[in-house]
Amino acid sequence: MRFVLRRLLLFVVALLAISVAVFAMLRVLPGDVAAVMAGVNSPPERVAQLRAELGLDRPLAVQYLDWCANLLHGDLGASMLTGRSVSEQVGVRASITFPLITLGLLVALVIGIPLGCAATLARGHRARAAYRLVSIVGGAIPALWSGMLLILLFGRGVGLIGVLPSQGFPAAGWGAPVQALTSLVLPALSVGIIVGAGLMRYTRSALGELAASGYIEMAMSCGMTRTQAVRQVGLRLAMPQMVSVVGLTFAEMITGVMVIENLFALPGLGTGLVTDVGNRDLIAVQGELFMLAAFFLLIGLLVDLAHRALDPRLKASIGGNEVSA
Amino acid sequence: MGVDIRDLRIAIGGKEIVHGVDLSIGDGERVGLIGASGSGKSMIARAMLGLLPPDVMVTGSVMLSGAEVIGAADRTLADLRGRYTGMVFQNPGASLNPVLPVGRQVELPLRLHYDLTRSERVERVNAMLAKVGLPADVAAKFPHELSGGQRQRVGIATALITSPRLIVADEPTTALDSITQRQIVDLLVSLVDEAGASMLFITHDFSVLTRATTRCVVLDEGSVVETGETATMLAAPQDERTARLVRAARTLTLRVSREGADRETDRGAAPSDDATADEHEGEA
Repeated sequence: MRFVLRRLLLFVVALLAISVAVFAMLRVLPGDVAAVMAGVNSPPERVAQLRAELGLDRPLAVQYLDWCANLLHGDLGASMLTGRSVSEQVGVRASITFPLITLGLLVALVIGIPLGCAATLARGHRARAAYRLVSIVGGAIPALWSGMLLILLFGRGVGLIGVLPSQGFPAAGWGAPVQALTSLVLPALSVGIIVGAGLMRYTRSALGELAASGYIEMAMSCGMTRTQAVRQVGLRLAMPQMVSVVGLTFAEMITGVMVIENLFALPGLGTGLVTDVGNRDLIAVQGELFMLAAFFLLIGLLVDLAHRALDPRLKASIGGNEVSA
Repeated sequence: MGVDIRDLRIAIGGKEIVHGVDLSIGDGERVGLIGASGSGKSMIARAMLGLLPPDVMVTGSVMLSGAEVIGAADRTLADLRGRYTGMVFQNPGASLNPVLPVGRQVELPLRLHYDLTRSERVERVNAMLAKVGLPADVAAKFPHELSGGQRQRVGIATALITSPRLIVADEPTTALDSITQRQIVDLLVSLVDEAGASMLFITHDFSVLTRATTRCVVLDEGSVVETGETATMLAAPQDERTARLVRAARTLTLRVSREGADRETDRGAAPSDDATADEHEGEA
């Protein structure tokens, strides 16, 4: 319990630090937000008026506290370009990106873990070399290329077996669940294959070490076959590390799927952030960066808590009640 | 359960490291397998139980209670292990599942081989833990919460829970201090004898061997160099390589006895209760 509280406290402190960093970063960048908003040829009076409207003429500390107070109410400000709420904008984009990366991760887990297990248990040089080839080729394919290949194979209207939509997200969003889901299948497969190859290599490496360990021999001596021992004992022992890898992979995928979002014309978080940076929509960029950083921190927190729950040895080493041999 | 090993050869990466070993263990017999580190003792034990990795080449014959182990299917071997054979490992800290409570670990052979209810398994596990001198509350603990001696008692309980006919003990005392070594050997011998099982006891330490076995086989660089009664062999080794091992063991025994005596003096008195001694060790 003490660990959980300490970890939560660390989360809050890190969140505060990130809010300061994001806020400060956009203030020290060359150029004035008001000048950018007003346009290049605006008279200084218009810029000053905008500065006052935006509250940019107040001391930085006051502006920061004001921003934080709004954050606590879930208000990330209004886009400088569209005037729409940034929170709403992030929400709409997240409703595409999160299901996409969740599906992508599921594909990766379904591919990576069983193949990693099979590669660990493979007998003979040829079988092992074949699995190694699969993991290297799978991991080396650029997301853009695998996405295009999938479109050419399954994309409706262009593919050989054109059964799935390959462009855009339904205007009704998740109000049209079937269309929304099918529009994410090809992008999720594109990203899942690559991430899955990485997970396969990681599973193979983690299980490879464990397969030669006394834990597997012990389970076998009790009556398990090698396959059973590797799948039941090995995977369970590798789980704390696997959870860390999967958690961090999930966090990385938020911005990592940007290329895929572009290719499949999905207006997700990564694509949106790049667009807003390009438009110098600094209020939106500030809010989006903060939300992304907060999400990274949240994943880190969940991974740490899961890691600890899965490995009882960590409790002892932190609690200090480990018994020496 | 008798064991009959004929012309056992083990090769790793094309290099033979066990060269045509013959070894037999009669019903209820306790046989020692002794040799220097790297002589192939543990490989033989693992080959007997089908525990070697698939890329290790094993030829010859190992008959366990009339069933051939070499070349047998994985499932057949798994059905034998934990039911008819049990294994006690050198380092329980590196073999007991670290994320499984001790009780779940000890009941694993029961769960894999017998159709028992959860309460029946718990009952048997508690009885077994009591037999090896551990309190019932140990069942809920994780291996890292126990001392080295207590962990080895858990290892013995796991190996013996199904009353197997053959126990293979692979240097079960090497990772322990001299006092705990003696307690563990005595416990193992008494439980094996009580069950009427056979035992192959592997060690490189003659002082332990005399307590644990009546007959022993000496291994050197993958070949058997001498076989005979343990006591006789210790007194008058026939082979020079055995004599060298005996001399080394005597020096080691003298040193260990001296260290043991020092430790007992430090502790105030020799502990009479095994579990108490382990607990003491755990606190150290």
